[in-house]
Amino acid sequence: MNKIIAKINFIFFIPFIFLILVYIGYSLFIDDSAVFNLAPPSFHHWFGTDLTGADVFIKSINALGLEVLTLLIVMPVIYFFGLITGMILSYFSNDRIREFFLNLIHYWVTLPVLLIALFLLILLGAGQKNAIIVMIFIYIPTQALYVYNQLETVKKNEFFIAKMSYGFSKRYIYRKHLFPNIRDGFTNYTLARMPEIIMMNLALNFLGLGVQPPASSFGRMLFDGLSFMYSAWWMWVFVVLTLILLFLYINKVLMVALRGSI
Amino acid sequence: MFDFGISTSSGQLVIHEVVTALGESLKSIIIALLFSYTIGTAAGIFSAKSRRLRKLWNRMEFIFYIPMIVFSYLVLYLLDFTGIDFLSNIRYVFAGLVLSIYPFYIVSKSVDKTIAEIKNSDFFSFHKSCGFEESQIWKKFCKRFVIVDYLSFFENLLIFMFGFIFFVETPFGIHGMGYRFVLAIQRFDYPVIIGFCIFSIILFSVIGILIETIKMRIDPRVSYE
Repeated sequence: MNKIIAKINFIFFIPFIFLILVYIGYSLFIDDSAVFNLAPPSFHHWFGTDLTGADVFIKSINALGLEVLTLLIVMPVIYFFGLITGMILSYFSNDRIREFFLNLIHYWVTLPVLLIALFLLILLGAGQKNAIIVMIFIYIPTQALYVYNQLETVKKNEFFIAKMSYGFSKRYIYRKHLFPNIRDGFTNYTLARMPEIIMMNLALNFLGLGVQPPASSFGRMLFDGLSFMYSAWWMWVFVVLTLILLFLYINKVLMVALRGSI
Repeated sequence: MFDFGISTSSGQLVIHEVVTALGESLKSIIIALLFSYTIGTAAGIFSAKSRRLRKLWNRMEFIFYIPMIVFSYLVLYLLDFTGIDFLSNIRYVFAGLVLSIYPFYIVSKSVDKTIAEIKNSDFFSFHKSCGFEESQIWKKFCKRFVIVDYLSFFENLLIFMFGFIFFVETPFGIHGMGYRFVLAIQRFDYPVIIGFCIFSIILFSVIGILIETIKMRIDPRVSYE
């Protein structure tokens, strides 16, 4: 299985890196002083140019980098804080406080996440930094709820009662026995949220609340391409293709590979 | 009292804008719900019956995770290519179809899972050993399970559809909640933005309460808990 994944990784990545290197090399030797607005794909501009004359390929690479960066920040943070919050909820035995926070989280989970994100982002102000903060804030409760539910299930096992009766401290049991039990499941759960995070980032950027010009993002590129749907198809077709490839890669290769390595 | 103020761009009452937009959005949402529940159920039943279909289904799973805006753009371009007038009322149907891609997947998966769970359950084999036929057991006892299952994710599907509807309405030019929300953000029309957010949250809370009440009536386990 790992060999197959390595092969697919190779199929996806090597041509991608090769294309970028060739493109960078090519742009170094060719004079790019002339600006071509809305130029169709050519040998010089592989994905064409947009209204301002910016290269769509370079913009796509930047947008891809932004998605990766967002994932790299959001995923570890929601993993860590979700884990801590869920463990604290399960650890403390004060029923009233626990019930209060659990009800709060349950109510939070039933609310439309995207609308809350938009609302918060409008209050905070547009920008990718704020978008990342909002995404972290709205994903932590669901992460915590998952951890809490898993811990409560594991706590019903006999080994937990046995360890308690031996006189081990609760902290020790949580750290040494309960956490290892839920770790793999929770990591898989967090990894499975990768497409969700990308989708949310795409939505926020589509609405213009994420990254601001001149920086580029897939969401903003799609929105800009909407006005030129038929006259300048290259402004959105390549973005759409990149997104399909990205989701294919995440679902078929990356998540399988990461799960395999856990 | 609940008019949410006046829109700074159009000068209309926000509640009026919200209700008009809701009516527009509901057209494509109802089509999406109908499509996802009917075709999704059929697909779920087929994949429960055939192993090959399930395998194929699992292989094609990634398609359903692709953001719906990608499908919106592709469908819109194809419509133009084939010469279909996408400005007519047919756009609601196509918008509904695009909107239902992910819910369709959820429904079919859920039906498939429920069928497998019921078939492996003790009460199913017990009734079978009592001499009941499978179709009889399904009719008499299992209907309720499927309805409860449908209800359990109905609210989530609605939230998903309302939440990401601007991905469909903006390209298709439907002046529903999503489209107006995008416009309000671009025009910094804060009363409309806040009005839409509060209205949606109230709407989903009411739907949630209604669903829980129906669930309580249908499923005795909920009231027991």
